[in-house]
Amino acid sequence: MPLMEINQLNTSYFTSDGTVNAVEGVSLSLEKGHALGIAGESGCGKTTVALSSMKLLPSNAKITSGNILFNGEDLVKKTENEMNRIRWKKIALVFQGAMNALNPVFKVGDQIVEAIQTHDRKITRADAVKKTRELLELVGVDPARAEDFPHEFSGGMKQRAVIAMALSCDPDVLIADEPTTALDVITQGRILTLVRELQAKLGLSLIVITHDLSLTAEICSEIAIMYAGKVVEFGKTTDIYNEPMHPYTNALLSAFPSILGPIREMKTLPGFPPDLRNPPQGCRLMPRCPYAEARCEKEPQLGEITPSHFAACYNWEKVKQTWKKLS
Amino acid sequence: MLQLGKGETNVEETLVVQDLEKTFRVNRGFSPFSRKAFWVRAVDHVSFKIGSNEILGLAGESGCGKTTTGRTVLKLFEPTGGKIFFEGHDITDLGPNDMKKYRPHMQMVFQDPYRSLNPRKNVMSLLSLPIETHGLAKNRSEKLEMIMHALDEVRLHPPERYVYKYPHELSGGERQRIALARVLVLRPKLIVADEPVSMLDALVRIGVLDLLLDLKKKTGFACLFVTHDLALARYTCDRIAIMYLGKIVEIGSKDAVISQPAHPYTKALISAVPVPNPSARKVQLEVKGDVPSPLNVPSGCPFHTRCPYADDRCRGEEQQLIKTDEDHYVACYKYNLI
Repeated sequence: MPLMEINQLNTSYFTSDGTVNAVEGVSLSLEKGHALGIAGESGCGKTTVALSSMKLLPSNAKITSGNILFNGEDLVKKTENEMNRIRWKKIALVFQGAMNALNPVFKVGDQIVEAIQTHDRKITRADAVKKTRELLELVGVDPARAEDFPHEFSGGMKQRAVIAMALSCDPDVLIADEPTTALDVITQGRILTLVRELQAKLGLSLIVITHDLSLTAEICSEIAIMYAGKVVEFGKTTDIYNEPMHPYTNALLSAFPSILGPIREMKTLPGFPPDLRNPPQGCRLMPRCPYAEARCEKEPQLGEITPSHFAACYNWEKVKQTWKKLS
Repeated sequence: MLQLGKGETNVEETLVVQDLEKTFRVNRGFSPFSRKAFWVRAVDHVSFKIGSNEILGLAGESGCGKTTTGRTVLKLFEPTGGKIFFEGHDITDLGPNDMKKYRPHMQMVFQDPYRSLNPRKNVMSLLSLPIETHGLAKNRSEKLEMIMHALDEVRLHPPERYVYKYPHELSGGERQRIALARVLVLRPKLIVADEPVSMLDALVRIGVLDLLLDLKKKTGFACLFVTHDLALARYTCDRIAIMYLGKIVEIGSKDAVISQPAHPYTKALISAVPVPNPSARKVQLEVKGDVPSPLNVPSGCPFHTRCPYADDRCRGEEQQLIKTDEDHYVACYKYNLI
């Protein structure tokens, strides 16, 4: 049984301009010890999926249907009090822009101690401090630096501190929302190595939310590609990269230059993602898709095409062939 | 003086930069009485050339001085040392008035299209400004024609739909196209593009990049492309220079720099770039520590504090750029030993 399973999740934002269905019918599963990547452009709903699964949505957003099973329990039905016992202890989140997630007027160590004490009322301060030092050591920061303020930390160290904070209650699942945006390439490389090491050492299960497909290639075992609130393709990392079956995956992959191999011509899709207040009928990619045809007016469902490789496209075979020819 | 070759093509250089230096004064401390002045050398003896119709990528981590270099060659910052030649003219010491005649020929595209466009002006007035400033149009109808043509060039079709829009009505990609159009109406000979696509989504990014490359082919200009993304530099640029703490540590054709990196820093950078292919294996070179503070640049080779190959010579002696190959220079005396 998967550790975490999202079934037919619908999440909407209720704004003064109308209802935005940011996530529609998303189903995903995360096995224990695996790393699931959720990738897509801004506004595709990937962060909303993460916030939904921790029930941390802003006040104007609501999960309208679907369920999120964690260890067999449905999180959607949980009350706020029950969620408080799950957040951080079972599922922890490394926020986007972690660099700014630290409070500038408190020492880094104290902020981690606070996180530990909030979730474990019985722990003594001395034990919490000891644990903080262990956590900092675990993420590769000198424990003596716990006495420093955030501005004395470099970007990479702040990111490490925020990861340490997320690990402070030994969670089973770590959700990382754009964990390396705004970091320099060498620092990013090191954070990725750290995440891989932690995953192996602690047996963590990861959900990585990113717009960068080269990042998911480095750390994820499965990838879900999202477009306009829906998952359009889901499968093992190697399958997604070697045999993409959805035109949008294809386009995203062609949009990332590689530092290795021949320089491929990069292609993009015409137009822009649809306005989710008023999404197009049928397949949401249809207005931009080079493979679009009449039957796409009826929306294709995410179907299992080969074992554990799902795509929501009628023309998956053509897409696969085109990619093969290119690479 | 270093002679930086630029490959076999013998076109006249649009921009020649020799030993460029830019230092900033920073004050430390809150009290006006105990303030101490420090000097940050953001650009330290940087030399390069850009041929007409060539794109030179300037890559490095944040704080390495790549943006300062870009701004200084346009004289948006006054250089504190060295020489800048634009099409053979020495523009280093020209004042703002004398610079005016060069301004339309050397332009800049900024990183963030959400901040570089005035939110209170519509596309029409945004594009009118450069035309009026440099007196390029004889009358109103000619100006209008130039604006429409510029919008057409950056593929905002149909132009009529865009002229009266305000920046907030446009997407990131559309805004960056407006920023490009604003520069291109002047038909510049040199464009400094400072991370022009780093704020854009993947698919939008490729559209804007391809547009830039297409327009370069069509109208012809030299470009200094400032970026932190080496994979992107490889796709876009003809030549690449790698900067570290204000110095160019390696410069050459993109194939040489990316496929046969000679400087340990370049190697470390390349090995840290994530590859969009899970089965790809690459050389790994890990470096220790963080970039030292530019207030306190290490002696000798600035990279020696992090370099796994550093020895006494690296700590004591500043490294000069050495020619390793046709159009490939590296500032590391050990390049062929490692």
